Amino acid sequence: MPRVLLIEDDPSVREGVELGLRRRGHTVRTAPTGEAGLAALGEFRPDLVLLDLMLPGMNGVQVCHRVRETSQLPIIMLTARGDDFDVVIGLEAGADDYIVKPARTEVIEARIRAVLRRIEEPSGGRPGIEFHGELAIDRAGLTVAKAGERLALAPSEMKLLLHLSAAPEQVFSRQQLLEHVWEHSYHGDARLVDACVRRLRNKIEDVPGEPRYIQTLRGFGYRFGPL
Amino acid sequence: MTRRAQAVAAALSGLAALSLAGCGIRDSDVVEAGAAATVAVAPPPEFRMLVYFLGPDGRPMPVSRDIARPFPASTALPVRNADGSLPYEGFGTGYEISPDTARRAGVVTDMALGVLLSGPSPAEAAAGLRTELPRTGGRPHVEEERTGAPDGGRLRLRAPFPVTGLTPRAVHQLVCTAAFAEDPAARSQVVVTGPDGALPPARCDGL
Amino acid sequence: MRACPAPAEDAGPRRARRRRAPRPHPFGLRTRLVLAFLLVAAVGCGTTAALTYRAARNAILEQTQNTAVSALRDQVDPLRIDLPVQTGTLRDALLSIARQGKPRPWRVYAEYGSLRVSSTDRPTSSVITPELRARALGRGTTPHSSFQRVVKDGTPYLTVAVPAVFRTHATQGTAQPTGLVFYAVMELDEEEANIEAMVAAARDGALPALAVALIPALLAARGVLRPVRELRRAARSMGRGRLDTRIHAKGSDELADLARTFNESAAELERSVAELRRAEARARRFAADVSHELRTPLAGMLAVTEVLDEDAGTLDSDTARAVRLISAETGRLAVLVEDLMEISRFDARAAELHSDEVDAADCVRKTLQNRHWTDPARVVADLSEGIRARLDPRRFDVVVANLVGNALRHGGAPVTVRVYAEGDTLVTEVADQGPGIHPDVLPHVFDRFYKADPARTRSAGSGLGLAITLENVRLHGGTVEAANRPGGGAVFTVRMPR
Repeated sequence: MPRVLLIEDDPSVREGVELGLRRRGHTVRTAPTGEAGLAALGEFRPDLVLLDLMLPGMNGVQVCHRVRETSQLPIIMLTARGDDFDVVIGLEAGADDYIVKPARTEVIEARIRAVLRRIEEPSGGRPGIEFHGELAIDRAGLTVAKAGERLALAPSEMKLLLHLSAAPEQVFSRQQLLEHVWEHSYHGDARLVDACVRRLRNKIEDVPGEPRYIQTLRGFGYRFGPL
Repeated sequence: MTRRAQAVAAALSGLAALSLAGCGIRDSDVVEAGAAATVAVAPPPEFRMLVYFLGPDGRPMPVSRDIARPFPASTALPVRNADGSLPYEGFGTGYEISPDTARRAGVVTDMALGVLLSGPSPAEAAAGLRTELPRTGGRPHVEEERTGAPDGGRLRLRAPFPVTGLTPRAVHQLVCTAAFAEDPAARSQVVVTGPDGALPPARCDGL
Repeated sequence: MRACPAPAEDAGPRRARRRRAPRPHPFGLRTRLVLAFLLVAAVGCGTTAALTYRAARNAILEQTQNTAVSALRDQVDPLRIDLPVQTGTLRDALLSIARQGKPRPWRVYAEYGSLRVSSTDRPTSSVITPELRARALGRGTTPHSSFQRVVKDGTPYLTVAVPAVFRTHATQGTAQPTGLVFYAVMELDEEEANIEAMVAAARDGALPALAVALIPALLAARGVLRPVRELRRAARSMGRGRLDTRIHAKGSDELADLARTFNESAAELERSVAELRRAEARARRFAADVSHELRTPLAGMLAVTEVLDEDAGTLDSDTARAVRLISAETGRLAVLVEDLMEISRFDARAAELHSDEVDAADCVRKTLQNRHWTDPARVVADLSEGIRARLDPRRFDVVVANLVGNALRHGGAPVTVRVYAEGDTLVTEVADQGPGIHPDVLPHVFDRFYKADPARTRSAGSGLGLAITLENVRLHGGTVEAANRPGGGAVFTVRMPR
C-alpha cells in the first residue's frame, strides 16, 4: 500500500482524511504546515503527497515548487472549488492532479491509485526504447531522454507523453486524455491537460512556442508529431 | 391641437385679416363738412323781393326780383340820397319813397304776390322752376293785422281763388313770398284766405 | 406551448427599443416655439403696421378732404349770383373756380333746378351720387357742405358738395338756400399712391422684422430645448443604469427647477439602489461565506462517512441508524454546500466558461453513463451523431444531469433525451412521461429553492439544480424553457449556440 504524506492545516480535514485512508490500508503521515511537510519528506519518504493549497506560512504552490526542485514525487492538490486561479497555479507548479474538497475517501483513493498507476502498454513485446527525433522513450524503464540527456518528468507528464507517443499522429481530444491519462470522467477539468502539456513542452521541445512533439490541433486536441 | 389653441389661432388670423383689409382708399358715406357757402344774391336785400317757385324736385326755390323795377325807371344814374333812399324822380325831392316804405305799405307784398301768381319767367322755366298756384288775372291783397306780437305781425292774405284745395307746397309758396316781402326775416304769420274760406296761420320756415 | 418568460430572452428587444433613436417631431417643441414667436411677431408687426397705416391714411384723406371742402367753400363764398342763375356768368365763375383747385386740380359742377353747368365739356359727373345731392340740398334743414369718396373703375374720387345759401337781409334774417349747389370732383390717385407706398413700406418692413424675429425665436427655442434635450439624454442614461447621471442645473426658471428635481430624484434613486445593491451583495456574500465556512468541517466529515457506514453493522441498531443517518445527511449537506457555492459564483459573476469543442452526442452519452442512467426503461437517448459544439463540457454535463435527474425525480420514466442541431443552435430536449408541470408552477421552476408543493419541505435534490441549470445555460449564451407537452409530461428545452 502506498505511503501518503498529507499536508493540511485544518485538523478535522487532516484527521478525517487520515482516518479514511488508513482504514483503506494506506500508511499516512500528516503535517499541519508546508514547512513540516517538507521536513517529513526525507524521513517518511512517501509515495505520494496530498497537498492543501491554502496553508499558513508557506502555501501549497510554494511547497509544490520546492518538491519539484528535487523530485518527481506524485503530488495531488487538495483544493476548494472556487479557488480556480490557485488550481491553475498549482498545476503549473507541477502538481499531477487535484481533488476538490469536500470529497469522499473513495474519491481520494481513486485519484491516488490513478496517479500511481503505471501506464498500460498498448501491446506487449515492444522494443524497450523508442526513438522520436531527439527523444528516446524507454517504456519499460519509464525514462525519457532528449539528445541523450535524461529528462525529469513528473508522473502525469510521463504518462501523457507515453500515451500520445504510443499512437503518433493520432489526435486525442482533451476529454479523451482526461479519461485515459488521469482517469477522470469525460467531463473533467481540461485545464489539467493543458497545464500538463505546457509543462511537458517546456521540458522536451526546443522552442516551447513552436512545438514539434506535442502539437495542438485547434478545436480537436493534441497529437504526437508528425516530426 | 386643443380647442383653446384653435380659438387662439382663429382670433389671431381674424386680427391679421382685419389688419390687412382696408388697404387703399374705399368708398365712404356722405360726410357733412361744415357750413354751406354764403353767396351774395343780386340785387341787395332792400331792393329785391323774393318769389318762391318750386324746383324740378318740388323744393321751394326763391327767385329774386328788383322791386324798383315796377316803379318808373330812372332816367339818370341811380344816385342815392344821403340817407340811402332812392331819389324818386317822378315827384322830385321830398317825394322819394324808400323800399322800406313801400314794403310797409304792402305795396311790395302785393307786387311780389302778383309776380308769384304770374308764374315763372321763361328764364326761370328754363331752369326747371314751376309753380303750383293757379294762374289768375286777379291780384291777391295783403292786409297787416297788428297784433303786437314780438315775432312780427300777422298778415291776412286774400287770394282771388279758392285756397282750401291748394297743395301744401302752393300754400308755402304764398306764405313765404308774402312773409319775405313783408320782412327780410320772414317772421310774420300769414293767414291765407280765399273766397272759400281761410287756412290756418302759417310761417315760412321750411317745407 | 407556453414559453417560460426567461428574463434574459425578452430583455434584449426591450432594451433595443429603448435605445432606438428619437423620432423627429414635425410639430415638436422647437417648431411650435418658433411658430408661436413668428406668429406673435407677425401679429405685432401687422397690428402696428395696420394701425399706423390706418391713422396715416385717415390723416392723409382727412387733410385732403378738409382742404378740398374749405377751398371750394372759399371759392364759392365771394360769388354774387342772380336768382335764377345766369348760365353764362355761372360758367365763368366755375371756370375760375376750377383753376383754383386745392389741394389738387378738380373739376367743378353747379346744379340749379334742372340747370347743369360745369367747368368741363360734360354738364355733370357720374361720380356725384344721389345721396350727396340730397344731402347738399338739405331738405328741411339748413344745407351743409359735405363730401364723399367714390371709387369708380378702380379710381378713387373725392366729391365735394357746397350748397350756396344767401342772407335775406344784411343784418337779420336766416340763411336761405338758393337751390344752387356747387360740386367739385377730385381724383385721389396721388393719395392712393401715397397710401400704397405706406402699405408697401409696412410690408417691406414687416418681412425683415419677421426674419429678424426668427433669430430670437431660434435662440429661445434652443434655450428651452437644450435643457429638455439634456433631460432626455440624462433620463435615457439613467434608464441604461447610469444612476450617477446628473444635469447641470443653472438659472432659476422652471426648467432649472425641473433639472434640480431630476437631480434630487436621481440622487435619491441612486442612494436607494446603492443601498439595495449593498444589501443584496451582503446577502450573497453571506451565502458564499456560510458555504465556504461549512466546507472545511464537511471535508473532514465526508472523509469519515465511509468509516461510519462500514462500522454501523457492528453497532446496536439504534446507534447504527443514527450513524447511517449522519453519514447520509453529511453527503447531502456536501451536495447542498457545493450547489450553494456554485450559485454564489454565478451571483458574483465569478463563473468562468472553459469551452472546448466536443461531440454533443458523446458528451450527453458520457453524462448518462457516469450517472448509470443506461436503463432504456428509465432513460431513452435520441442523439444526433456528429454534432460538434463549442461548450464547457463540465457545465453542459451539469445541465443535462440536472434536467434528467429532475425529470426522473418529479416526472415519470421513461425520460427521453434528444439532442439535435437547428442551424447554429444546439438543442437539447429532456422530456418525461409524468403529469407535467402545473401552469402556476411553470414560471417558477427555475427559481431557487422553489417548492411546487408547500407541504413538501425538502426535495430530494438541493433545490438549486434547475437554477444552476439556468445559470449555466445563460453562461453559454443560451436559453432554457420549461413547458408541458400536448400529450402529457413536461419538456425542458435548452438552446445553445454551437
